[in-house]
Amino acid sequence: MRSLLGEGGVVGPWGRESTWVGRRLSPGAFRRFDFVIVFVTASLLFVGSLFIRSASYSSTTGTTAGFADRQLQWIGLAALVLVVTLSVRYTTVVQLSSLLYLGVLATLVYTLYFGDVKNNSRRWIMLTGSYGIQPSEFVRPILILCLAQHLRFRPRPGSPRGVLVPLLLAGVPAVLIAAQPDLATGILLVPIALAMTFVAGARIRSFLLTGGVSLILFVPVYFFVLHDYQRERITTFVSPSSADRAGSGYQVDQSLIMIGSGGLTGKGLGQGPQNRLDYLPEAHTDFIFSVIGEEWGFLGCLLVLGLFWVLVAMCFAVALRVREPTGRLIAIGVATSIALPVFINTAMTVGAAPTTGVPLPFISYGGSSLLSHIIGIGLVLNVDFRKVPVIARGDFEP
Amino acid sequence: MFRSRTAALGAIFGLLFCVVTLRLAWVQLVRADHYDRLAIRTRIGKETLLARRGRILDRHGVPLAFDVPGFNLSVRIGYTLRNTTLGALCQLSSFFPPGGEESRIGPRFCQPDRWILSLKVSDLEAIPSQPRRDDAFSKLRRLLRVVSGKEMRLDARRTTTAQETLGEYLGPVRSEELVDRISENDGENGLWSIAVPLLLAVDRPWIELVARDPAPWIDRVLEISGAQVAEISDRYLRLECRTLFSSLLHTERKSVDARVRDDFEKSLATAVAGGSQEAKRTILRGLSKDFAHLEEIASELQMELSAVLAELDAVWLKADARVRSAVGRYLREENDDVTDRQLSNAWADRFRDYPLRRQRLFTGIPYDAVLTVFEFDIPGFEIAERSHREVRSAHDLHIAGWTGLVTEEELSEYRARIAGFESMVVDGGLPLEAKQEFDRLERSGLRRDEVLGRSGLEGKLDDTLRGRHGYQKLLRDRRGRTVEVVEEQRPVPGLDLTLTIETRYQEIAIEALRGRPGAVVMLEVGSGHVLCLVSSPGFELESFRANFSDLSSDPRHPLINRACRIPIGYFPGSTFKIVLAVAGLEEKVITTESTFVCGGSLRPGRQHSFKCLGVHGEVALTRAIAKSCNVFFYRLGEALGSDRIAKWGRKLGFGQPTGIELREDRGFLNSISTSRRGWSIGDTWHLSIGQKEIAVTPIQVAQMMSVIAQDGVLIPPTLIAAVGGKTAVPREHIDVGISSEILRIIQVALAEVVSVGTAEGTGLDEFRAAAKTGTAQVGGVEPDETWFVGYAPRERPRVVVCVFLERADGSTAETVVPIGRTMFEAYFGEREDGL
Repeated sequence: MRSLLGEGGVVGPWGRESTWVGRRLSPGAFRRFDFVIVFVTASLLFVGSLFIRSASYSSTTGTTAGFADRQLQWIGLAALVLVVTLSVRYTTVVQLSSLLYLGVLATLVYTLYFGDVKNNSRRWIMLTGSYGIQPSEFVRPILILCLAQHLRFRPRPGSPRGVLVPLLLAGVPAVLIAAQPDLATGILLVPIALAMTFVAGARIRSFLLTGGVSLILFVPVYFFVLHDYQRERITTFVSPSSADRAGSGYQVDQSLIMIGSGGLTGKGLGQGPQNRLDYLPEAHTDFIFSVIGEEWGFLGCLLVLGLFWVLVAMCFAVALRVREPTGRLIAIGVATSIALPVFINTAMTVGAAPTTGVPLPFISYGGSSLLSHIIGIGLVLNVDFRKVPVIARGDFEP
Repeated sequence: MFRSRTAALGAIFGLLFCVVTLRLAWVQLVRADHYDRLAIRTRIGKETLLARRGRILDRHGVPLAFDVPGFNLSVRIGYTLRNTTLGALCQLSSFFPPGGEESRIGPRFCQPDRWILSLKVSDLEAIPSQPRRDDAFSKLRRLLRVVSGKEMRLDARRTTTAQETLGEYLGPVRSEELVDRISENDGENGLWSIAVPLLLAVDRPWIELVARDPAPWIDRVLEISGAQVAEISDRYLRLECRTLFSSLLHTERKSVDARVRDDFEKSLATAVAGGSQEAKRTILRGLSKDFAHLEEIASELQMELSAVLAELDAVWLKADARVRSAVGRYLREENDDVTDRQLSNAWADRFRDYPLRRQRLFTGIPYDAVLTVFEFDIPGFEIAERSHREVRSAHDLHIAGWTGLVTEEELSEYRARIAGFESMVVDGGLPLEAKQEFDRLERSGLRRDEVLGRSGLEGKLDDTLRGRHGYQKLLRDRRGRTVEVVEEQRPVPGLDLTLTIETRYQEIAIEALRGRPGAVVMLEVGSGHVLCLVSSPGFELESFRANFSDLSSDPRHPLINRACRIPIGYFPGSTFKIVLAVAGLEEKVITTESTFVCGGSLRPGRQHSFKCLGVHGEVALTRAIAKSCNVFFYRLGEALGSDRIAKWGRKLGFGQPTGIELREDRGFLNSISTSRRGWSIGDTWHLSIGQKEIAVTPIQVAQMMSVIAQDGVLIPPTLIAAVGGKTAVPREHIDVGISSEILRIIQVALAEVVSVGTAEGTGLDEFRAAAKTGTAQVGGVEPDETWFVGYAPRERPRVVVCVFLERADGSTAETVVPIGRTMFEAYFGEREDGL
């Protein structure tokens, strides 16, 4: 049985609305609205803006770079984006996902050739002199929508092809992003696809097979495709004994020192000496968790991780609560797109993962990342409170 | 299916969160202290504040040994490369030679060429000679000769920098001509390394010359860079060019008007367009760093170019990305495959292996030069105050002694001892004595570059002179800039030593000795103060610094202080007869009336005869002393026996150290009961006239005479009048136990030596001196040692003078007595009224 809704083949990329039930918001929608997610997200944003301010202060010059103010502007914009995301029914957006996907691919190609260069990589489209967006960040929610649509009625994709197609959907933008070069953002798309495919019910065998093939493929990629500095990061991680204090090893060393010296309760917000003395470059972006570790200590880190965990758990709860398969998959995708960067980023700051340019969602400075994650949260909320009724497979299961 | 898979995924995420949490717990809870210590070590640096070493002054406060303020220039390459500014980077690239073995920087690999150029000529000469400096110096001379055709006469312009001087020499020479001249004369490309920065920085007319016609220069620059870095990747070439153009730009901005600059840029562009592909690239790489991006940034920030430059240096790390991308864009337009990353990695690669710790480049840079160095203002380059020791003259080294750097062995021994005491403390309590020693050790706080007294007073009173170093704990930011002084302990300067020495007497004595091996000692009666203590031969300060080992192996032993050391063994000769006279009278062996008959010699056996200076017939004590009759004293000695002679010899200070604050020999004084070999009557006779069985130092002889002058009171000689401004505790007065009648007899006899005896007619009478001369046979064909020891005036003695010559070239009256007279003259000359 390929589809619960019968053989009619009513589900296409541009499937008719009549397929769906409940096109209007039911009166009780806002009673079902999950304010926990909103509250946790807001808390994370608040913590983020606190620490961006703290991290961009330098006691040498006694000045604060304007990052915190700019982040507040982005947060304002994000609130607007959230409202917009909530106002359109997600099913409508899912139907448009193929278009969006093609659109974002085109934007990526455009960026690759005409984008603006910052920090040695061409990943920006500058809107004004100083405000710009990174299209690569917006691939994530669109990919989630796209995959949700593709996977929704495939509870058990039979062949390795069932894994390969989602991988391909993720792989194309991933390669385009990696070419900017922004390896980490690109590669992170793949586990999102895998997670969604997994939850959608693909065979474990297919994963193992795909995994084996990609490992074989990795070797030539490592030697011929990766840039020197990327290889170097991998080597630094694998054998940290090569005392490379000037490069990425230096950052991790400093990050560990900051986090470790924070101890249980930390040095107090804005009081971390290593932070104030600017020992960790880029502390307001990728290494903001180190600042949290130094100034709020172990308890603060637990609080932040706990907030993330609650957020991810709420997304899972939504996935389990909702019966409509597209919505479920969206919730799972968004949960993955938050959990993974959180893990990779925090593990990096404590020296348990290689140095990658993955920001900490909602907390690190950066408008595009913030907006794309807010869109994800908006989608989950949308899925939750729209409660699109559907006769789902689960209903018939014992 | 969906629920179980979701649960599985949730479990995986939960696991990942757990991993991070556990790792956090490990880092923040278990290892927190470790990382906190690391953090403190990272941000807090400890700087030693050096204590000034105390000076050694003569009795009037004339400094004999003193610290000359100076500075050490050191560099922390690690800091510099990590945190350097844009302008500094350009400067820096010229300081370090390219790859290979040489890239391991040590002091000898830092090119002082450019530092030297910016130092004033006078300061330049003050830098201690070292191969690199000399090399750069000779290059500079050669360059000047080549360029101007004139010999360099830097001394006339001591207050201008070498660079400015060269500028003056250059004048309006045409650029091609210059290039040609330099290339013709430049065999091994050695000149270019100094010529290029020099020429670029010189002067307005020259810049205009280059500006009018840059093409040959650009070619030349490529050639130079290529020649210098034949085996190195073009990364270095790029840096060379960048340096070059940046200095060009810098100078030009300062001194050339806008029109010339425009012309320059235009013609440069033409040159670029017409050059080879490789030349184009290289120049572009150089230029893009200094022209293109600046203008770009300026327009972006809507600022003046100069403001951007200033800004750039201030926020180099932020600007870096923009600069690099500007360069990158340039290169890509040239279809170059260099990426920004590669470009920026160039620096990292190049300097990866440079160490973080401080390395000394120069020591003893004078203050003016320090200011010049500060103009470079490169992070990681540090100036530390570090004075060096000077002495007034080489002769003062015999008293003051010299200092030296602590050796590795001393350092490790010191550390081992400290560690030993520390473990004793841990084990529980220290005995009081050990505790004092521990405190002293800790206070002295030996550092790696500690200067220690090695000899003389510097060595003996090192603890007093050295003071106690302080320290500063500094809070530093990532770039090594000090944000705050966290903790400070001021250094306690060493105490000044005021000596009893009077420089004027020293000089007179040195002159009187005329370099003959010997010594002059002058003691103040009543205090034991050593007014003059000179050992000859001396040496030159230059040879002391340059050829210390030659000096120490010199057979004439110039380094040994003959006033209180015995390089070959000094016999007191007839001056010892005073001891015999005292002993004879005190032991009641003789009276003033007792006589012995002198027949000119004693002949105990067939083989040997003991001679006298003449045939004196029947002599009593006074005449025997005055005429220095040996036979009288042979007989007296025989009657006394060697033990009683030795007893009185010791009472008068022979055979034991005087306690002067210098390294001294005690000499020896044998007698029948202390002699290890057999003893014969001949040995007693030898001893009686101060030969063979006794060895003394001039300071001991002077001390003996001072006992007579001080009416039987022995005051050990001392050099220290005051320590740190506080008058030194006077030495203990020891009553030797000679009755005053006997002293009177001896004093009269010594007066007769001057009036009618061996020192008759030498002019000593005019000082109303009392004295004794002495001649000691060393044996064989060696010349005699001669002695003069005396005091003046007889009635109320004020000063004792002892003169000793190791190899007399005449009688005592011709050799030592005139020197003694000169010393009395020096002492009394200035206070004739005091007589």
